[in-house]
Amino acid sequence: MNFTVIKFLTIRQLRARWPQAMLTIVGVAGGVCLHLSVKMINRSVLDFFQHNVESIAGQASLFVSAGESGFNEKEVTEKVQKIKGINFVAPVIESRAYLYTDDHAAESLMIFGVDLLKEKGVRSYRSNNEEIIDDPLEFFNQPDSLIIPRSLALRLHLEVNSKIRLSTTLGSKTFTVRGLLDDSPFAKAFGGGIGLMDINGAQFTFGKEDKLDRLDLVLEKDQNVEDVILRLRSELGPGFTVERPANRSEATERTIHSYQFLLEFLASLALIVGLILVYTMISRFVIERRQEIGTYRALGATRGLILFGCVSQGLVQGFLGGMLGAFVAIHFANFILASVLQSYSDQFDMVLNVDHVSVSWKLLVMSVAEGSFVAGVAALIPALRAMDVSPVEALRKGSGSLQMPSVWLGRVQIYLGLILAIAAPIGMYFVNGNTHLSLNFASQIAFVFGTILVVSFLSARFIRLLAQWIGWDVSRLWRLGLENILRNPILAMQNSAIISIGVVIICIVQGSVGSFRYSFAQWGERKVYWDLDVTAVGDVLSHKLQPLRSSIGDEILAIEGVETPPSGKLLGIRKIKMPVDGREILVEAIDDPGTQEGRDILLQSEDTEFGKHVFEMYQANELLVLASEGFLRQSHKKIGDHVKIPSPSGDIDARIVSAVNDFLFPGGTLYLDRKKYESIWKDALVSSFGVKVKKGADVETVRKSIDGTVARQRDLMVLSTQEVKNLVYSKLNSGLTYLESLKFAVVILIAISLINTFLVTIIDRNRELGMMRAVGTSRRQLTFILLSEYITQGVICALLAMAVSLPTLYVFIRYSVSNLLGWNLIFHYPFLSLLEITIAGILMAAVAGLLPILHATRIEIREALRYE
Amino acid sequence: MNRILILISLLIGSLAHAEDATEIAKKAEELVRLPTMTAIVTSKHGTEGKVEKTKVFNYWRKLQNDRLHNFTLTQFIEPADIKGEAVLIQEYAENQNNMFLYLPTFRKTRRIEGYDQGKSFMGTVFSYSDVASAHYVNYKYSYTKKERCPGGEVGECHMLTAIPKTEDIKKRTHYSKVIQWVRITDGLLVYEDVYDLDGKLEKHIQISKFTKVSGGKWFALEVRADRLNDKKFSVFEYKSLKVGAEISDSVFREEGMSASR
Repeated sequence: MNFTVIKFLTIRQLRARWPQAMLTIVGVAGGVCLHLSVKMINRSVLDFFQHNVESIAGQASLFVSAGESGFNEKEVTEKVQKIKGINFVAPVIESRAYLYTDDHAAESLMIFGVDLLKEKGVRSYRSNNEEIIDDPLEFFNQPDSLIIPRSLALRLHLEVNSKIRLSTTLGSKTFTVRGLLDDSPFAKAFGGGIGLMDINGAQFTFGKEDKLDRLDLVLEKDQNVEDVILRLRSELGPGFTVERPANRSEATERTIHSYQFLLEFLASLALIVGLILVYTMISRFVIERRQEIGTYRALGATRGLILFGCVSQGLVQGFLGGMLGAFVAIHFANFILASVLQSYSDQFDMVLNVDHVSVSWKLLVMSVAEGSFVAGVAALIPALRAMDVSPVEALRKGSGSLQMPSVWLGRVQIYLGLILAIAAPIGMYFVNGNTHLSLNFASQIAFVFGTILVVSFLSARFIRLLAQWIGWDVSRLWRLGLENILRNPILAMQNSAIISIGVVIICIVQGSVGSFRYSFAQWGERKVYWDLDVTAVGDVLSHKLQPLRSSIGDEILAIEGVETPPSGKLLGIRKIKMPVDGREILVEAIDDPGTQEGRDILLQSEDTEFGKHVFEMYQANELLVLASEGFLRQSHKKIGDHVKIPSPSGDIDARIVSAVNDFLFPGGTLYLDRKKYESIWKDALVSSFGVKVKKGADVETVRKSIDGTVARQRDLMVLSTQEVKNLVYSKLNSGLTYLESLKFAVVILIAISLINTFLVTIIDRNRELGMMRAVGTSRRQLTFILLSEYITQGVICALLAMAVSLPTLYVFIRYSVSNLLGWNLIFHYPFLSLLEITIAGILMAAVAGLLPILHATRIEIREALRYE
Repeated sequence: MNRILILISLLIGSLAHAEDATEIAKKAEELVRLPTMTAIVTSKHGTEGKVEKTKVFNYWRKLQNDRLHNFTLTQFIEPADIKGEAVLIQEYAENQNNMFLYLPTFRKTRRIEGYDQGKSFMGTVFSYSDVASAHYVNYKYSYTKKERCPGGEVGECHMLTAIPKTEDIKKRTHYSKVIQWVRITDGLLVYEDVYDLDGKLEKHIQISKFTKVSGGKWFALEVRADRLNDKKFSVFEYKSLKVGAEISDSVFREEGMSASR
């Protein structure tokens, strides 16, 4: 008996309704595939960072560093060597340098400067006994000596003694490949995009004479690492970071975590489609097969057995969909990998050399389980209804029709929907996106479910009102279409839910993209004090741009038409990352323009006394800083507050004097006087020069003069403010590509789901449609009736979903996304998008309806009338 | 009884040979031990007989007060891109040797870690430990046999087997064993086969063109090393040899490496 019941509830039903079952499985598979692909790519990106750290750490148990400006080599090394428990101290210089090919600066290499005369104590660069360097005398004495992985050499067609050009603090310099690294773990770090130099050469090349970026420590045997960390911290002070290699990638992981979270959230919405499909299929089964369920109950099947059977039906579909989705995801993730990595690179100024997505069995199994779980949960509510079927009542004739949901269910739906829709923005407003990710996620899920419930409830009411309004006189065929929708409330609700998800996702993506673009455009349109930016070749917007020696500024000043600032030195800007309050932020040190006009428009701010505060910043003896709004938001600080900035000589206390708008760095930015920065951090390098053209001189002529002289000799870039703006936009657009692709993927999935439900509707109404054809309805009229059904649903749901979701979307962008990404985004919804969404709603419904309509118009009247 | 006598005589015989072997090695070392010396050395390096690189350096060596350990300084003269580079080797007892490299481009003196003294000496087939003198006290000798000297040398040689006395010495030199040939007629070490840490024959070293200097001592004007696995070779040719001249201790200090001489 048990087996017969389960067979009836699962296998027989799936077999009998195989087209719908197949489409449901495809729907679940699509959701699982999209979610798993995003998860696998995110995991691969994190693995990439961890692998890099492990590969470069070698035997080192601890890293000591003091930010990007570095620290004094002799003083700190001597201090560290005296600390108990340390066996070996290896100095390291770490810098990213652009590699020039014949036509452009194509890619960048992570360059490590190490003491190759004693490195063996820390890490091995060899995989065999071959010497890496052919001639050490030449190698050590020449600052142009470079070792690269053999794989990189092969890719760039290089060999020992080949020349390559890299960006340095003096502009581009030619380097000689004097050694090749074989297949050691170190050679594979950063996807093989590395270069190895001797420490002295690296210090000279990257302007860090007598300085180091890091000390790698090998501890004595049986030393307690925590004890050594405490001793180091107490000896070196708060300006230094002492960490285990494993923790090294944590800051980077934290930076991208929010972005990964946002992507996973959007991808997880695709799973809801699967959930709705399973829910509908089993709901319909329970209603249509009520009598058979009642018969089984009358014959002794327990309530538990009925529940188990119905849930099993969902689980089987979920499992099969999960398997299919997981299989497709392996290929799909690799297919979209390159564009996703580009998106990461543009968002976070990272170079990610991930060749392929790492497939983890655990993740695959988890995804299949996820698909099964979602389907199981979706099946649970109709299963509970099936469990409650009374044998006597079920056996009554006529109880198996598709009924209007009970009034109480409708009330539950609208109340629950309203509660969720109201709770969502409240949660988004109050929950700090980064510290309470799970609560943030819950708010976003509440947003989506609230919208779905409210829209699917209201859409039925609106369609009823519309039907009454148009009556039978305006268009009988349209009215007929509306009546059909109202006669199938379960299917109508399902269609509304699916369309609402699509619209909500489009709204989220459009709102986010629109707000990003608008905010960046506002920022990009700001007036800047200088006319031209001169930097090393590379990503000019990146703070990781190769810094230059300030002496290059003197060469630029000598060019005719370049205005000499009152200080007599060209305005230099230095950008470096620093850990402040446990977060990584950007510090931008700018030279005093020397004039009040320059100070007034140094940065974009809503502060009416901005110029006065900038003047204070340069004149005061204490360290005063300007903070980006993103920094203030994330650190919960306000103007007038103090902030501690780490330096090799200890924490430096700085007072915030004004706020500025910028989108330079997700963690926020602090601006300060470069002169003070240089004196505290002992760093005289500049990331870029701001060139102001003399009054009366032509900007383009001056630009050409710089291009033809200093820039050509040193391979520097000269950009006008308009070009910088264009770069901002193009970088932003590239960064948003992934988000928009995700939107299209979800929309396609939704279209598939709609085809599913529309097709089911047509099959269910075979007899009715046959009857219509029999009484003289032409194929064209039938097409119009069905199309009007679908389009009306599409338009009403799209408009309702927009109306319900837009207010929450405002809170989502202004608080949730802004907190997550650390940028103070201005909410901007492109109005054209409203039209786009309405059209998308119509198109989704119309395109999804094409196949079912084609099926309907080809119905044979005789066959259809026989259909039961 | 006879067997016991035979065993005892064999044991005494082998001990006597071991004693002889150490004595032979000691005498060979003493014959070339000079109080001070300077020379101009041409280093040739290549593969399968073809010279690929030639370097010239000044060479100073001074025997320490213990009459065993030396201080050695090499300062490169040619080619131009390595001019002024210098390598200082300060030998001490218990293998506590110091090695430094001076880089004129950066005006910096760098220490070469002890662990790496078995590595190639500036891209040649010689290692840093080959350039520093090997001392008989660091090895345990056994007498192998008497045979014709290898490497085209004229005459008969004692063939000795030298094993590093401690793991530290092994680790420093990267050698597990050295077979030496000492010429019977003059007691000079003329040939060596060097075995790596895996016990595999790594290279041959031939010491030739001996010239007699003051005090009954000898000096080899040519030392050649041939590595077997890649068929690379290096030759040091000594010219302008001066023995016994006064050399200040300051020449062999870390701070003194930058001075051009």
